This record gives sequence, C-alpha cells and structure tokens, in this order.
Amino acid sequence: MRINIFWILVLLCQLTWAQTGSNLLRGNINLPNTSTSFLSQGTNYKPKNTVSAEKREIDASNAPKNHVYISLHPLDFTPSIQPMEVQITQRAKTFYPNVVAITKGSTVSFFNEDEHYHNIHSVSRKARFNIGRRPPGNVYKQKIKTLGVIRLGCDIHDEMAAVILSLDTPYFTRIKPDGSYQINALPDGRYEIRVFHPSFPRYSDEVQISGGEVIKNIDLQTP
Amino acid sequence: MKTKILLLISILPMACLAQVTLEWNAWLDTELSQGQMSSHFYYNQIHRDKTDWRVGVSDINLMTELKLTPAWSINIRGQLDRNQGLALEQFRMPLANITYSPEKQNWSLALGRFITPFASFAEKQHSKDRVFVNLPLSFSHYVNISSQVGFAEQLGERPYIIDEEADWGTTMLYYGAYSNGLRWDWSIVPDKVDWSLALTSSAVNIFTKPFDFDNWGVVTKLKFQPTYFWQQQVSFSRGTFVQSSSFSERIEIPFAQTLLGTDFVLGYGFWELTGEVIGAFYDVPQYISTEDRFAGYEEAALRSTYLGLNLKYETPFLSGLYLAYGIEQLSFGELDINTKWDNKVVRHNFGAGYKITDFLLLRSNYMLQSVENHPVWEQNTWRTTLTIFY
Repeated sequence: MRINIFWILVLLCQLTWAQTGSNLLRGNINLPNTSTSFLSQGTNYKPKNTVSAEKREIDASNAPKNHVYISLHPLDFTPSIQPMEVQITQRAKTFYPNVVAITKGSTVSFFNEDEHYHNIHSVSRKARFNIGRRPPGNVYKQKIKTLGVIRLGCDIHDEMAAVILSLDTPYFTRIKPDGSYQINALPDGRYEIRVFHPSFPRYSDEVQISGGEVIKNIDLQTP
Repeated sequence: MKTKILLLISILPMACLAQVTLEWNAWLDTELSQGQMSSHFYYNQIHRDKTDWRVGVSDINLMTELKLTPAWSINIRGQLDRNQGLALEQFRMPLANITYSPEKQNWSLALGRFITPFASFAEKQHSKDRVFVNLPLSFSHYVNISSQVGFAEQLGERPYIIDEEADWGTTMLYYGAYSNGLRWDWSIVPDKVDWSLALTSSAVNIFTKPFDFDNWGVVTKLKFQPTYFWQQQVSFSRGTFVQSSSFSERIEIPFAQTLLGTDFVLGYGFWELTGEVIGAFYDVPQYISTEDRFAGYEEAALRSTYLGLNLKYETPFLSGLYLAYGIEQLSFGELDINTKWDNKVVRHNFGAGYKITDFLLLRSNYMLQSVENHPVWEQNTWRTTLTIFY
C-alpha cells in the first residue's frame, strides 16, 4: 500500500513537471486592416443618439483589435485544466470585456453595473442558457461546461453582444494592442496553435516547442 | 499648376474614401400562412386571393451604413416585400438618409427618409425585434378615412375607385413607419431620457414621395425610464395628409390628423408586459352621398382610440423560446347619436417564437378577430415565419 502511494506521488510529480515547462512562445500576429465588428447584427437602422462618454471609452477598449486570442493545444499530452473565475460586466449597454477566453468548467460572473435590466442569454449549440432579467447590481454566476465559442446577447438591448471562448488548454493569452504575444511555462512537445477572432475564420497550425524560446509570427492578412 | 490642381482634385476624393467604412445587415423572411374566407389585406394582412395554405419568401431586406467620417454617415435600407400580400415584387427604400452624429455629443440629425419617431413599434423594423408576425391594429387596420376622399362611410367594406385605382382608406399609422424630412434625436440623460423631434412631409398615417411638399407634419417623442424595470414613452404628432387626385382637388376642407400616444415596457424575471394607448383626432371632409350619388362635403371632427397590451414569457428551461399573448382594440367615436364612424375591432394574438441559432428565428402566431363584439372567425389567420438574418 505504501509503495502504491509512493508511485502515485511520483506519477503526479511527473505530470506536474510535464505540464509546467520552461519554454516560451512569443511573436506577432498581423491582422487585416479592418474595423470589422461582430456587434452590429441588425441594429444599424436605429438612431444613434445614446453614445455616452462612458460608452465611447468602453467601445475603445472593446475594439476589434482587442478581440484576438492565441491558444496552444498540446498534441503529445493531455494538459490538466483548472477552472477559472472571470467577470463580464454590463455597463453603458455594453459587455465588458466583450471577448473573453476561459478554460472549460470555468465560472463566468455577469455583473450588471447599468441602471436598467439586462437579460443575458446564449443560443449557441450545447451552451444554451437564459438568466432572465437581472436588476442593477446583480451578479449571476454561470458555469461553462462545454468547449467552443459561446455567443452572448441581451434580449432587451440587441446591440449588445459578447463571445466566450471555452478552451481545453491552459496555454492561451490575449494578444496585445501592438499584435505581440507571449505564452510562458510551456512543456516540450508538439502543439496545435490557434488564433481566434470572432469575425475571422479560425487560424490553425502546428508548432514544435523545445529548447527555451520559440518565435512564431502569424500573418492573418492573407487567408 | 493646372496639373497639380487636377491631381489634387483627383486624389482628394480617394483620400476621403480611404476613411469610408461600410457596414451591412440583411434578413429574409419565409412565411407559411393561412387565412379564413373573409380575409383581406386591410383587415388581417392576408390577401383575399391567398387564403389557402401558402409558403414562400415574404420579405427581403438589406441595410447599409456608409460611414463617411466618424460623424457623417449614409443609411439605406432596400426592401423587397409582397405587394398587398400578393407577389414578392414591391421594392421600396424605407430608409435613405444622411445622418450627422458629432463625436462627444449626445445628439444626431438625420435628413431624408427615417423611422417615424412615434411610439415603440415603429422602432421594431427588424423581424427579429417583433413578438408577433402580425402588425398591430394601429398600423394595419384600414379605417373609413381616405387621403383622397376624406371620411366616407363603409370605406373599409368597399373601395372608392379614384383615377382607376381602388382606395380603401388609411391606417392610424402608416404601416411602414417611416417619414421624409428632418429628424433630431437627443439623449438628454444617456440611457434615461431621450427626446426625438421630426419635421416631416405629411401626417404619420400616410407616406409621401421624397419631394412631395403638399403636406406637412411634426412628430415628437419623449422616452424616459422612471426605474430600472419601467420604460415609458409619450408621443405626439400633427399633420396633414391629402393626396392629390382628380377627387381631392375639388375639396377645400383640410385633411388633418393629430395623434397623442403613450406606451410602456415593464419587465420582471422572464416576463415582459408592454402596453400602448393612442388617441387619434381627425379634421377631415365628410363625403356626403344621397342614393349613392355625390352630394357634397361637410367638415367632420372624428376621433378613434387604440389600446394594446402584450405579455411575453421567455422560458428559462429552454433558452431562445418565448410564449406571448396580445390583446388590441381599435374603437371609434360617435358620428351622430348611436352611430360610430367605423366598426370597433378587437384582436387576440397567441404567439410563440424560438431563436434556433444566432441567425435563425422561428415565430408563429394565431390571430382571432372580432368586429363590434362579434367574433369574425372568417378573418382569423395563422402565420409562421422563419427569419434568417445577419
């Protein structure tokens, strides 16, 4: 029995060591020069008279260039993923942030900071939910049990839209405004590298990580 | 020097265009419908020749917003829909305006063709924003007032043929819900108090051609939010609506309509209650006939009232599904003792909708109608639409 416990501990140590390597991947992602946004689905005809200074500020933070996530999906081992706690705020009839990546099983808190109702729902495949009208100050926690892209909307304000990207890997990051990125603590091995932007087709490639620092620049200009 | 100027002139538009962005949305409705034997486009939006089961595309829309600069934009909507419920052949441009919306300001100005700022339904131009397939009574039921003849009894039951075209009367609000002119929108307290004012080329019950200046209109709406679960709007409009014809040219009495309305939205949990009251006041010529012959005109002051109440429930157990019930009434004032100038109509709508995906919406509703408190089963309709949108 003691021997069994010893070997289990050894195995756990190996797994831990295997998933927290010392490599890093960095580079730049070159995006198409576009202001394409996924937010304007069917709302363009409405009068645009309610753009407050606060909303302008949030919109600037939610600009399409800030929607890009890069993720690494190991091909040689199965990573252990830890659930996260993230928050999506509703302020000035806008989701902030409006694109967020999480690990599968994470909990997303929807926090209504506005002075009116919001009714957040998703009709994405396998991730349908409707939390109903939530008053100002309300925080509602929703566990995300599925993988993939989950699109959020508000039944009351159809100009509101957000995306949750649920991943099966802990190795991901949002790219910086200048297009650069860096992912640390990568174990040796082969990975599928994916770039996600809600308005563009998903980019996918394979990369070998070993020997410390690996540089990978990606050009999304040409399909 | 000349070459330089020419070069500058040719480069300038290109330099400006470098900043231009185009956003577009589109949607298409496919409808399955059936109406009873007394259906009529002016009673229940089902053409009397199309009462059998029918399936087909009923509405195609393309909306574009061309942003010339951060402040200036051109908004255009092209729509192809069924001509009075018949064939898909009626092309219109319900929206065509240039909008100035200065940065760091809470107001905007639109010149051209825009959504009429009266009540809440006018803003629900997109199929996905509408709970029921049917238009409300105030937008769809034709009353005994024509824009060419004035008030004429039994107009809704038989048309007046003027210049070889059938005239069935007018609705309380033009069914397309758009107007020509100048519209000002001001968010006085962002997300809490909004005010809209429009100077238009006619009253809100008809639509005129872009450069038809025979009429005038003023429309205004104040929207406010007393508390987070309650939104209220108060609307007012006044205008004239005569349309030139060989008949109307002989009439010197004005055709004028005044509307006063208020509507609300109350919400709680998975429930939403919306309601609306509109009072319509007409100053119109009354067509007098004796033994079916024209005998002259008198000035008439008429009034009608619209009441509407809708209850919607979104199911928490199945996201995207809702159930709804609506009751509406269009009633009319007295013409003389014990005589109303048109028949009272009451409508019950039973509806359901299901958002299948982010771009597919299925809606269905059954409509029961009664006239002068007697159910008219022959006017009931069942309509189901599948909306594909982007």
